[in-house]
Amino acid sequence: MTSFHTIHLITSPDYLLHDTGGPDHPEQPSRLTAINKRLENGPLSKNLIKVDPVPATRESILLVHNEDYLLRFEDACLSGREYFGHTDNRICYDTWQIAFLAAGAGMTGVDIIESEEGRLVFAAVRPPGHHAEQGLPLGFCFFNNVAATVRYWQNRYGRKRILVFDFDAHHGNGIQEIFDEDPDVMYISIHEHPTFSFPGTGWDYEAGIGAGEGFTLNVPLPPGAGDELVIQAISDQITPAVNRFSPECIVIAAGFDAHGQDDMSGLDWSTLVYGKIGTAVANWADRFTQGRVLSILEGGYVPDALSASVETYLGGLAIKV
Amino acid sequence: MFVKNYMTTEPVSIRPDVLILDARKILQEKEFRHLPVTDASGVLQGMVTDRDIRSALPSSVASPEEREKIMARVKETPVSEIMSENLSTLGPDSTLDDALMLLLRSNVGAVPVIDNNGVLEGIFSIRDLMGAYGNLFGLGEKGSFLITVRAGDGPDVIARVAGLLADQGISVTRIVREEAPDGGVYLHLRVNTFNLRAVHSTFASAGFDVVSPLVV
Ligand SMILES: [Zn+2]
Repeated sequence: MTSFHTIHLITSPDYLLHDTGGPDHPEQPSRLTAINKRLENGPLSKNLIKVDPVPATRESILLVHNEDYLLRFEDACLSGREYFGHTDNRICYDTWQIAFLAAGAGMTGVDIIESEEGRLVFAAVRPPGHHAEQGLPLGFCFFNNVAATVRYWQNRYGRKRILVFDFDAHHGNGIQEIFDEDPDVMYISIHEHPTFSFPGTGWDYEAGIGAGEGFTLNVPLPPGAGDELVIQAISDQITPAVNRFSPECIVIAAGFDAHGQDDMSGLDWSTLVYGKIGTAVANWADRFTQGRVLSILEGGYVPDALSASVETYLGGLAIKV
Repeated sequence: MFVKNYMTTEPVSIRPDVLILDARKILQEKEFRHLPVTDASGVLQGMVTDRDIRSALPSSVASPEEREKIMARVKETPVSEIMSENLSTLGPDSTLDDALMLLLRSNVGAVPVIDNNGVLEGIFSIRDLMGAYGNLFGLGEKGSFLITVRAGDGPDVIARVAGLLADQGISVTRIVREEAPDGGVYLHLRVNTFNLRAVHSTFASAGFDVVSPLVV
């Protein structure tokens, strides 16, 4: 019989308080409701330990965003503005606080992994983070949850070489911008080609800057790309790059909007391929990090496809072989 | 849309009496391909290229005696003897379209830009042209992507599409109409939003056929 390792699921009903202004906005609270419901009723339910996130401190956010940006974001939320920076980035009064809670989930996960309470952590959060740059909100993102978690892991626990793998359909321009010049953080992203896809970055020649050159790997896929190209990219390009880097820690920017049913990208991945991605990640973790992986939710905008893909990914990650 | 916004200003230039070998040194050190030649008041006299200099130097198949003879002469020759003088130039009001037509026609890699008195103002290369059009088309503009719809006939199609997107609050920064070699007429739009869903539903409800990006 198939059995699974334990997964710590970090999530909070408070994440539903980030109000994006009604049903027309793709980044809906129902995304998380669907994930939770599916995981609670599915085959992984017995292997899940639910954990409440601890909000990130202001200091920990300031490691990836600048003071001025925080002040502008705070002002936009607390003064009742409807959006921050661009009309896409809908906010409400609570968004300011919830953003700290979203960024804190990854840090809570780091504490769980470092205290050896668990090895696999999935943070189901919103708002997402990978488009947010040091001083720029973008693509429904305000705080870069993944980047803040990486810095926390390094600062709090003295870990150095951290791999970030981003399989969201969109390029994580924010993660790339924050670690562009940093040789200790390897950013690998697979996404739809920047000509045809938001945010229009992530060409394959973007490979890091200065000391960070060679520590960014972008793998753009053509519109319509299906499972085959993902699996091929992982085996031919991504796994060899992970092996060369030999990470001490692994953080996954886990977005599920490349799914064929998701209308926010032109990629055409199946639910099943997320299981294969999970298994590939588990293999890296076995090789380099004693099986420890921290995954943080990014995109995925069709609740049914999103929740099924999350479940399949976690299954592939946690399956006992 | 104007050359003056995209040209290289204050280009390095030399006087006509500069020796060929000194000009070569400048080209090599600065990794330039073109060196404008001006008089004391900055008026353009000509242009010397790395190719002009190479053809002035002795050929590698020449005999040692012949090489020596040519080199002795080159060492004393100023660039005024080898520079091109009948230059195509661009002016302060030239457009990128002017530059494109000129570069296509003239088979040179860069064109000097002069003011009405012939004083050198800048130099405009094919590379500058590519950068300029890239900028105009919004290439690499963060937060945007390209969407292509089949346009159909009718003079008002651009206005209709612009109106549609404006009504939905979707910001669009470029609309280019293309009569493609395949006979189709397309509109290419650069939209500044993450909300691909809203863009697609807007076009679908107005009966426009989205060609790319496709949502499978
Ligand atoms: Zn995404």
